[in-house]
Amino acid sequence: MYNDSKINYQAKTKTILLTITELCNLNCIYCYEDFKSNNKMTFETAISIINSELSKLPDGITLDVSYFGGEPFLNFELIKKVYDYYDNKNINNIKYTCSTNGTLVHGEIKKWIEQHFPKFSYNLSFDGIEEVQNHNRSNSFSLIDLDFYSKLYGNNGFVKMTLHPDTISKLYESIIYIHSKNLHPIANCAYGINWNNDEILNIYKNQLLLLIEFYLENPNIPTCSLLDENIKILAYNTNFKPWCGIDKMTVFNTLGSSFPCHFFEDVTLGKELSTKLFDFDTKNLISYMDPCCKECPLITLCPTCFGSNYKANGCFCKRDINVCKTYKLQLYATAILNLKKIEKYGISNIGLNTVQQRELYEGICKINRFIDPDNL
Amino acid sequence: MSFKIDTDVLLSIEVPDTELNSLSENESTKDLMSNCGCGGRCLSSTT
Repeated sequence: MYNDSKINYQAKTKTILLTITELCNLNCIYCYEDFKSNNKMTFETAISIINSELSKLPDGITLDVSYFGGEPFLNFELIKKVYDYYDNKNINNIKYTCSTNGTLVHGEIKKWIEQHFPKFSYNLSFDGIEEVQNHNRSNSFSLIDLDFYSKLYGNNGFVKMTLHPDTISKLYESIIYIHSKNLHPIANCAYGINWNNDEILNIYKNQLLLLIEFYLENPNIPTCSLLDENIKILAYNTNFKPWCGIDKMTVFNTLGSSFPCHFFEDVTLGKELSTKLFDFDTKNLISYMDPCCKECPLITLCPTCFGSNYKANGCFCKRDINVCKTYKLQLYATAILNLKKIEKYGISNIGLNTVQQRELYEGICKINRFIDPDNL
Repeated sequence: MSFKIDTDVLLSIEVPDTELNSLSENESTKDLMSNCGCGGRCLSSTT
């Protein structure tokens, strides 16, 4: 039922995600994969999936094979074998990416990546300064060669950063540190974690304020995602739009079964919950809008993870509201930063055309009307 | 600086009197496209 992958015609790619191992060498504090096992994808399963996708691929479209885990480099032999298999057949409309914790990118793996980049690339999960990285991600700071990653991407790469209440007081330092490595942080608050604590929210607010000041003083540094929400969309009274990638890719578990996203796999939900998904309609995501959120004026921009909702509440609709307050703070911080830029440079001098200027202004006004940061 | 939108500043801005059409008609939709469809906020991009 889920074997329906959408083609991204703008990027001219079709993405499939292959979970090639459920093993991981870390135990991150926010990890949502509660049902890890020794399962690994075989070479035969991988090429069966890829051959099937290639056979349906229209001309001019590249198949983006994205490896996932666990920690995918624990199945490095598969990664190499698949690469060589299609390379030897001169099949060139494939590219490969890998989401990794980076701890195994040394020695042979590092050398292989250098030789095969950019056709093979990787996305690094990294949370910041040593104290944060070690607390969040199993004392892994010293195992990650951040400079190699940064250099590979020509000082234009990004890291995927996950925020946790335990280390939120070091958010500012962590983001500055990542910028100092010429990397761009794409961050979000961990789902399934209780953020509904006034002390934590106040700390988060203060950290966002420090970041606002930083980006005002350093306008040439691209703003991290937490303060770069697309608030212009709020200018329109549009309907709820699902923001997750659930209908934009197909995910395959180690056995080759397909799912709408990684969060629905048995490694995350467990076998019992993941087998109850037969009635999840990926073509009609709007029907899964949380009725409690229906009247929220921010609904058009608010992301929700259907898999996280299902895992937390047994229901695709019912949102994990633990991140609701943190997301409102991010929107509010984005509005403050943009308003400060307008004040400093003038609305016509911040790189937007007249339509976008109006959109931004309306978006800030809406946030000002509907979010009270002191009373979330 | 406080964590508060300065409404005096907000009200003082001279905004272009540009008509806004549907969202899909203008450039801001470019921001909607990303690797995973949600600006990197999707959990599936973290290992």
